[in-house]
Amino acid sequence: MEKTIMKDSYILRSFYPVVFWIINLFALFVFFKGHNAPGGGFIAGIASAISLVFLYVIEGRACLNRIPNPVLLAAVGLGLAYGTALVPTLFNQAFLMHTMWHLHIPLLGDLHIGTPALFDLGVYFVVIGITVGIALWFDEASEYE
Amino acid sequence: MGILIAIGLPLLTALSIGAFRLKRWVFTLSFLSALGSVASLYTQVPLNQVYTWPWMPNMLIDFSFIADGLSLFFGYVVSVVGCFILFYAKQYLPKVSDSNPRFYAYILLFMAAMLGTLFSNNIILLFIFWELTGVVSFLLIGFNTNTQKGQLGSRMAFMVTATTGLVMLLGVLLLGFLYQTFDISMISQLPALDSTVWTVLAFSCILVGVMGKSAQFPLHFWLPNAMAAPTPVSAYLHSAAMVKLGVFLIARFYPLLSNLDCWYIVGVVGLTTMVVGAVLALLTYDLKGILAYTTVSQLGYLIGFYGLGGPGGVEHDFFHILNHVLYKGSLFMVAGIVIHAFHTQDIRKMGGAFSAMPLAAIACIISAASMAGIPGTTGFLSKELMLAHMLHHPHAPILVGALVVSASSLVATACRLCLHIFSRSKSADPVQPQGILFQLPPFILAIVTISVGLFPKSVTQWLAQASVTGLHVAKPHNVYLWHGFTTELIISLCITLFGIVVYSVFQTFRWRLTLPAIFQLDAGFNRGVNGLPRVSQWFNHICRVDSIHAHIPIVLVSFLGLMATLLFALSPTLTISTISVVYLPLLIITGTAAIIISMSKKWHIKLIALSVVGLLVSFTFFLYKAPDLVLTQLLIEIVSLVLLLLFFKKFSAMKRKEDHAIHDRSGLSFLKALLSIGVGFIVFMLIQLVNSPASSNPIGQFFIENTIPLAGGNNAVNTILVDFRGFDTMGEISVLFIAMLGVMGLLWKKRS
Repeated sequence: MEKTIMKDSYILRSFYPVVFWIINLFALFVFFKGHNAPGGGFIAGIASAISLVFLYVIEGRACLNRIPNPVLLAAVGLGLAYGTALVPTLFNQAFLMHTMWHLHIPLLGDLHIGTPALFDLGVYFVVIGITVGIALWFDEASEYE
Repeated sequence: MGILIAIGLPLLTALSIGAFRLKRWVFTLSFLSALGSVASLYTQVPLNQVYTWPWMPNMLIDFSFIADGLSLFFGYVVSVVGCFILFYAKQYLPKVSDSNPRFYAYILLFMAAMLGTLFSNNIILLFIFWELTGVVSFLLIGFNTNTQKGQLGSRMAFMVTATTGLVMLLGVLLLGFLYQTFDISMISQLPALDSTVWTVLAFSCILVGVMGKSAQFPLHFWLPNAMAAPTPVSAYLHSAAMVKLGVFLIARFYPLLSNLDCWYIVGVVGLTTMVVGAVLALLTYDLKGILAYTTVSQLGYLIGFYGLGGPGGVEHDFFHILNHVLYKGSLFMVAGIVIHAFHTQDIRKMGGAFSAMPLAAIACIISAASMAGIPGTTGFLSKELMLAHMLHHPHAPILVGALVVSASSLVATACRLCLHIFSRSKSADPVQPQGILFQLPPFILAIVTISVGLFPKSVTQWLAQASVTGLHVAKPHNVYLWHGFTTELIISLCITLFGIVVYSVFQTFRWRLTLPAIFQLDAGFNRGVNGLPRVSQWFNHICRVDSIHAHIPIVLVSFLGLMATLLFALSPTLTISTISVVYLPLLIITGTAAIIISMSKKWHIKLIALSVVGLLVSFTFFLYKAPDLVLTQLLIEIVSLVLLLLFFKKFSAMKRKEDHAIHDRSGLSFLKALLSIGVGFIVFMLIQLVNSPASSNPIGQFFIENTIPLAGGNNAVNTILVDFRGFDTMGEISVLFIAMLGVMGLLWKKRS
């Protein structure tokens, strides 16, 4: 039996999968609304991190196999952000120069996609990795006091 | 194109040895690559041709290379000696070892870095290659990584050369700003500099770099310690290549800086080093240490030669350098063979090695004769030229005196080397015979020494072709073996006699004198480096990092002091804005909750009050119509609540009581309250300052207007984050990442 932080709560355990997806849907929504309305990678990252920290609170260390390694996640995010910044220099553009594509797709309407989303995705990953990582390590460290 | 191939070939070979983890044929490949380098230097036809590729044109930094006489001469020395060293290293290294390919790769990398330094036409590029030679020499000196001597020696060499290299960077940057260009070929056509504060400063900084790299007194101490390197490395880096970079740089800047009033300091530094090095060589018994000190002395001789200068330039400087490269390279290689045979570096335990290594013995005798300046060798000619040069100088008596002291010490050292290693037999064990191929490279160098010494005319004429305007005199004198009975010859004879006297005096004392403590600067350096942690410990102690109750007030008081000064300085622009009465209830509730946090003794009440403050702050953001901030603040509140709950769950009840005990001391609480109110007040005033109409710069308007045309998004807050100020965001996430690694390092405990 894995040690968990809280006493086992049947209600929480049964409800949490639904809550988990709701939080992450919210995060997704906020992430993509970011460019034109309140939201963005940072906020979405905190939301997703909350969902993962709660998962850890409920399931204990058992959930660690299912969630990505926080350090790796943060490193990938950092790499993504720097990569997005560096790629324009290969095309004789300034460092961090963003490109937007404005497409008109029938039935769906106007679509604006661009490299800022990739940069924001990097921020998103870094924020998740850091928040989850710090929560995990604090918990582990205090256990071995 | 020749010089580019000469730099690129060893570089590519070294990198491919590393990348493909080559195991076999590495020596052949390296040797061919070094030979190719020499050959491509030979094919470099147009002199003073500049090859340029833009790198950072805005900052005047380009990949720019030039082949003039000076760099070509040094380039030949580096690459030809490199071939000898590779051949020698093949015999020196153990027959089968996993680390051999790494060794050849380092040597080639070093060669490429050296050639890059020599042929750079951009001072900044030169500096980069210059530091690269330092890095590779660090790897080479510490090649035997398992010995403490190797570790300390390489650390010392790297710290001295890299630190002085940074000082040199300051100097070349100053030069660049004075001239508005870093291009050496353009700078060298400009008139020589006059003495101003800035030129003297630039000169001093460059001189420090030269002193570090070429082991000039008082920075000479790293060179004897770098002798922990395998002998081929010492023979290459510390006789022919790296330590000559300082000489090269002095020659490079000679046309530019030699007009300065303070140029004579170069001569003072060089000649002091010459005397100190030669005398210290007498006081050591480590074979490679002796050679290291004679190298220090000879480097001082070369730099001092440039320091003396002359009307219209110098002459025969290349001959002096060539002389040193020939005999010192040969002597170092012989030392390696001898150490192989005796399994010790202590010259007091050697003797009777002639029959075991006849070729090496002959090489050693010739090279030592050259070091002592015996007629028939290049050393003799070099010393004669130097004496002739000094006799024409206004300060002739001092200069000649210094030369006599150092040269007679070198004569004594030369006698000691030949007689103690080869003639008298001390050890009962028979000396291990050494292979012919092993002895070949030093022997060839010795043959060159003696043939150039006997027939100098052709070589000096060939060297004269490489003369550089501004550095060299237009028509140098010819060099002959026999000048007739001149003053120089008489002084030379006296030097030799003095040297023999010094040798016999030391012989009667059985070479018991050792280095006086005042000259053991390396020990002082190590003490200084090891003492650095103590300084930071002392600083930590002052800041009381051991106790959070003492540390945080110190941090906050410093913050308050700084910010109060700032506020005071900017107070004329300060206007206090008013707020509407609507906010008053909100402020009162927030304030009450904050007071509850600090006053309450129950942690769950504190926690609830903390959340109340957070939520009310986000409500305030809402009233100010900042939806992004509201969202962020809410989520942050949730995360911090969860994290705090995680901690509190873990804290034991006892621990919390202890915390309360500290809390309850009334004097301390009063101080803390005072600090908190101070911080609150200062932050409030700072916000008022930023919002004051006089000081506020309405940059926000620009972002709001341009968010759609430039960034293609309606939400200016977000376009600022990812686009307009994306660089800031990148810095922030990098800092977050570093902070995470720090937390990980602090909290991660090894599960045993």
